[in-house]
Amino acid sequence: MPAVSAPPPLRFPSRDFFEALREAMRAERERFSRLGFFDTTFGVRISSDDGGEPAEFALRFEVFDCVGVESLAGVETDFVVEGPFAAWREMLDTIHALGAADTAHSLNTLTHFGEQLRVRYDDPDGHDKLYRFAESIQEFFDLSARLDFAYPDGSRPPAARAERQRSAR
Amino acid sequence: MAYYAEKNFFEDQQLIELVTNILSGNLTLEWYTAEGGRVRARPSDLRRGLTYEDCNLGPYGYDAIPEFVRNRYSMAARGSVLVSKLPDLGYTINRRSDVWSDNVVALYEEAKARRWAPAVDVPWAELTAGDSVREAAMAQLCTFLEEVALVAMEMPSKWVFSINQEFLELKSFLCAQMIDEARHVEAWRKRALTSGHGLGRASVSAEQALKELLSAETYPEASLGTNLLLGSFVLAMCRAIAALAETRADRLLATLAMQDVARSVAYGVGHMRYHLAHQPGKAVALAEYLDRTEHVVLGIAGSPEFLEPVVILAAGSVDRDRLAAGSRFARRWYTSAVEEYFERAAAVGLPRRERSRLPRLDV
Repeated sequence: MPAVSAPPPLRFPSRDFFEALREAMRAERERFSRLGFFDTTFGVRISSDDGGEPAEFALRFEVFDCVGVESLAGVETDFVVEGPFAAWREMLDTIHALGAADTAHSLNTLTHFGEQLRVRYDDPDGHDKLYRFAESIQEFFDLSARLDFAYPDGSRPPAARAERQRSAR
Repeated sequence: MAYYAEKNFFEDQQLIELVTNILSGNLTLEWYTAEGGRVRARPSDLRRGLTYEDCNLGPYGYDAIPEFVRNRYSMAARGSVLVSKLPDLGYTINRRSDVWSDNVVALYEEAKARRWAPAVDVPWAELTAGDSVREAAMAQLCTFLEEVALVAMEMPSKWVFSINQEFLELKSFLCAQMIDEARHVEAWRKRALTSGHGLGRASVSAEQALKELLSAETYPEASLGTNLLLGSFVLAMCRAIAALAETRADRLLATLAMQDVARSVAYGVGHMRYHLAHQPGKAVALAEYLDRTEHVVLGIAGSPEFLEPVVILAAGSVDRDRLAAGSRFARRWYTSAVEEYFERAAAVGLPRRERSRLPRLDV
């Protein structure tokens, strides 16, 4: 029998990465239903370390589902979370190691004073959806703990720690 | 002041005969001939179920509520056929733009869908007796937040009966706000009581400031003061607690509370937008209300019963150097909260950046 090779890891940042998160969210339908209606469209912007074009995606959520992953250009969003690749990587590394973001690497903390990640918006009403749906958004990103992915330089997030559990620190 | 029905129904022979006839199979069927609008509501999205938006149909819908409600002062269901002698409930808030917000129906559905139960949704067992100073600070902070939540619970309760029931979705949202705040009273209280320290000290400046907000003379002022002004700062308080949490339990508690408060803020913003779009002349009076009321922020957010616990939680200890770092966090927290409040106020047409006397801090 011919050897079957494992599929290549997803790449972060990429549309495929967020599509995989979308699929993971579908598999967790009960959990997201418990968190409640989740209606927002927001953007993520990952700036390149080498000054190149940022990677930008719009994520569209409706009811309990992620219903769209698309290019950010031309999409009307409630807010955009943006920051350097290093900040996103640190967040994703922590999630991968711990199974979920700890306090220091939660979206709330990272965007709190705008030092690591910043939130851009035109209307404070749109910005407030980051607060209204905070736990759903965080748990969406926490699903990246389940993904097999690599960064542009080929490196991978750290393996899950043996004691991996949902903990704040 | 008691109200008495026009008859004692025990002594109403006509009614007793009618009941006897009906129970003998002789129906009047007057209700069946009532000519209300014929509609059939259906869920537009099965995931959401049948929402109030799906029921926004013809005379039953909220779109049909006029700016001035002139002829419906009883508890008759909106869109039902009115008959004579319906009692007047004495509603004093009968103008749509005094209460309405375009997002209130969605916020009501959201409030129900995103409900949580502090007893079981916060992993209390993960809270262990930790650093004593830190836990004492958390207990004090929760004592303070319970005071705030009590007032945030009472504000809608004070107004809901005065608002005409034609605005039933809005009144239901006010009830959801009360449930949200009852949940916060419960959550903050339970968190204080798990600390090993019990409840802390009441805050005289915060309580006087909260009472001033509660005593607003009109509903638009009350909504502006509690939902938009106070809500902006309470939202920021929850955000800070989540960012300073040492346990998943504290982070989740603060995050879930923040989500609830953010809905009230969203209603406050939407309400003011709607109100001023329909009554632009009120902008002057509301700006003056903020001129004389914004000082309450200092009484609340500046109270030692709030500020010192925040400094200690951010510092992680009472070590002098660490306290300096904690104070820096508190300054940045306040600055950020003021900034977001200014943004929301400007968005509704009440620019405060140049006009407000809220202190600006060096960060």
